[in-house]
Amino acid sequence: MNDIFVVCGLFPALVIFVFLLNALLTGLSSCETIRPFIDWLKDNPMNIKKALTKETVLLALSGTAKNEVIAELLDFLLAAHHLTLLDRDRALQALYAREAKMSTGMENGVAIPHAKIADVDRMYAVLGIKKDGVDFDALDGKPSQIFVMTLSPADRAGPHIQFLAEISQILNNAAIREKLLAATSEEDVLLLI
Amino acid sequence: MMILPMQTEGLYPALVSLASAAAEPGHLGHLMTLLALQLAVIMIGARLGGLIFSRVFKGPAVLGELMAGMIIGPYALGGMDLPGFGPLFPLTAGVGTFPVSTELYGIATLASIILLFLSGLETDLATFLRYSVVGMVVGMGGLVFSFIFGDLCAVWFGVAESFMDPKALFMGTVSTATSVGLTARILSEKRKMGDPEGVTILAAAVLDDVLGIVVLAIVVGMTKAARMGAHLEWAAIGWIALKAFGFWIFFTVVGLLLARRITRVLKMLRSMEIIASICLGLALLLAGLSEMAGLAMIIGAYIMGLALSRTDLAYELQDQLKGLYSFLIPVFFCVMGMLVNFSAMRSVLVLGVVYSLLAVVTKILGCGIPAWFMKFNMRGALRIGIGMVPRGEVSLIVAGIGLSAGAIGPDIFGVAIMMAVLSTLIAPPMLVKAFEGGAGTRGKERLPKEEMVSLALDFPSQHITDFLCERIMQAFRNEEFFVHRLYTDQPTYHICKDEMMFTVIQDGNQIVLSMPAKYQHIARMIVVEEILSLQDLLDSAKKMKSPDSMGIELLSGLFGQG
Repeated sequence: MNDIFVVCGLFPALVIFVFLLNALLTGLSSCETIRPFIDWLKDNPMNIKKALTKETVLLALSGTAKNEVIAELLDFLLAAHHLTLLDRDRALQALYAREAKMSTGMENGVAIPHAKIADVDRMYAVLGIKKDGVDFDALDGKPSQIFVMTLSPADRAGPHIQFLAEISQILNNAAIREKLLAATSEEDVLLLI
Repeated sequence: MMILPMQTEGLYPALVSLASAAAEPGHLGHLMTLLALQLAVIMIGARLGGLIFSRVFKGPAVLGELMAGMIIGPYALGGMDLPGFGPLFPLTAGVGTFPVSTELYGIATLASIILLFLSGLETDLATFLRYSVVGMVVGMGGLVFSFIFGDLCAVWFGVAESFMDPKALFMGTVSTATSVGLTARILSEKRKMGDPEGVTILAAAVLDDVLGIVVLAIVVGMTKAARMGAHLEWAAIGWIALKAFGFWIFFTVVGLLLARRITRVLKMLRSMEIIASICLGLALLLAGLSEMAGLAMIIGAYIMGLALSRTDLAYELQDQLKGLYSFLIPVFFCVMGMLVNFSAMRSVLVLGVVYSLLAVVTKILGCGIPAWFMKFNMRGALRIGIGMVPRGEVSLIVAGIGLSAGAIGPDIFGVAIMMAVLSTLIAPPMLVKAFEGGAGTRGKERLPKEEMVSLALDFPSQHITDFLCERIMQAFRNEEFFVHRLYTDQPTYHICKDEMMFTVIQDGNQIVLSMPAKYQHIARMIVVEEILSLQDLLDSAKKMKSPDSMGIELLSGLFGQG
């Protein structure tokens, strides 16, 4: 009879053990020093941090019209990623062509101009801010203030649209948008997203 | 030039002696001939048995396969002498008292590894975690109840000396493993899968599988230790349990953590066939490792499946392994049926009936009572209890392991098969009856459900819808999603990546996307971009020559010759 009680106790003990282990792992993964290691192990593929660095953030865009902003962002993207060999005009035409089909100006001041071209090997992204806003033919008609531009390869698979969708989702948060517009350094911008 | 004739001269007698030796019992050639013939009879017999059982008796095909095995096995028709060949399934072929040959049992073992690998792959950890509290309590109740009474049944009937006797422990373990496949099929036919009862059964079955496997690991470990002559103190049992659980936790956690990294490397191979082979190879590797660690092979296979179940490869892997599965699994059930020794069972028939009834009752009570405490009413609790009754493949595998390890004899093995057959036969009609009538929860309480949204796109004609559906699927593939087509009447696709899962159904001129609300922005943007890119296609179509002039060009001069 004694054995039965021990066996009965064994099952709940196993479950408690699993819970403790789970708690331990959750605790570990929230610890800042171990977090990068767990992230590396898990290999989270949609890592926005990887795609954007402080070199690819432009705090004060100077353009005042839609095409000017696109050209300015493209020049910044080419310089920031050292894409000196890329045909600037072709990339610009591809971006304009995409805008001609449907504006990439989303709601609440966010725009995501992007294009697929043959000459790049992976996706390149930049983030630009213009506090005064520019008329970008946005869905809600409001001026656009936060811009994320990407150039991605036309002939290679990759989570390119997913990146844009996820970053738009982050920027959909009014509090984050406000803080972004108030940011004074590139590091602040990166911390926010 | 001189070497060749000499070689042929040497080769010819060798071939002659090989051919004559092939007919001699015990020789490799003879063994392989026997294996081919055995497999031929098993494949055809199992399939026909399954067919008859499902068409004539409207029961699960598995039982037909199992019974085909009993009929053609060494204890029935297979044991009879064939003129000029001897028995097709000679009883002496096995090692020791084991009734089937090592080669045949090897194939059945491979089948059980594939089965558990796939069962791990199909495990819905997300559902389990979401409903873990209810599922865990229900699953745990069923597990503890059925284990204790299964074990005690052996003690009461004098088959085992004490509660901790390996024989008794095996009988306890055999009666724990619910085979939820049968319940799931009935529930999905009756569209009750999303009901609180259905979800609870599925979540409880996951816990049942996981803990059942751990219990098996412990029991196998103890049996092996006992056979080595070790005296089992509680400390030793604790150590075995810790080792089993440690192995389980270590490989599951490592597997789940590394799964995405492994699949990413695998995806570079760009061939699903190669990826599937490598994954099956990994499952076999872990199976071997778990056996070396003193546990059962199916544990490793299940862990590998579980680790890969959270990746986007899971559906594709299931698809790739389907062919192998459908060939090998009937063989497995048939071989399990062949292991049943009728004469050994005669003495334990009463035990078999009592054990089977206990297995049914303990699951109904063990799962039903906790469910009743967890917001279900009597009807709901009964539904959950009955849903957990069917035992199947895992019970058979466990019994097979017990038999091959010598922990249980042919009599107890027969009892285990009897229990699996009876519980599988009893459960479906009871389940259908139980699901008649109203809600199974108290009050209006419902389990929380992930918010889903759907989006319908209308197009002017079937052709354009077909074309666009294909383009949209390609767009998802370009975003590194896995697109999996289900073979249903309406073209239906599962599109998945990591935790995201979208369903696309093409319904006439309409494409309907269903997706979790929290990921809808991704699906919507991918579809928008694809529809916009059609503009380029339309522009280039406009640049084409007019169909008239193209037609004239194609046909001109064709009829002018005569």
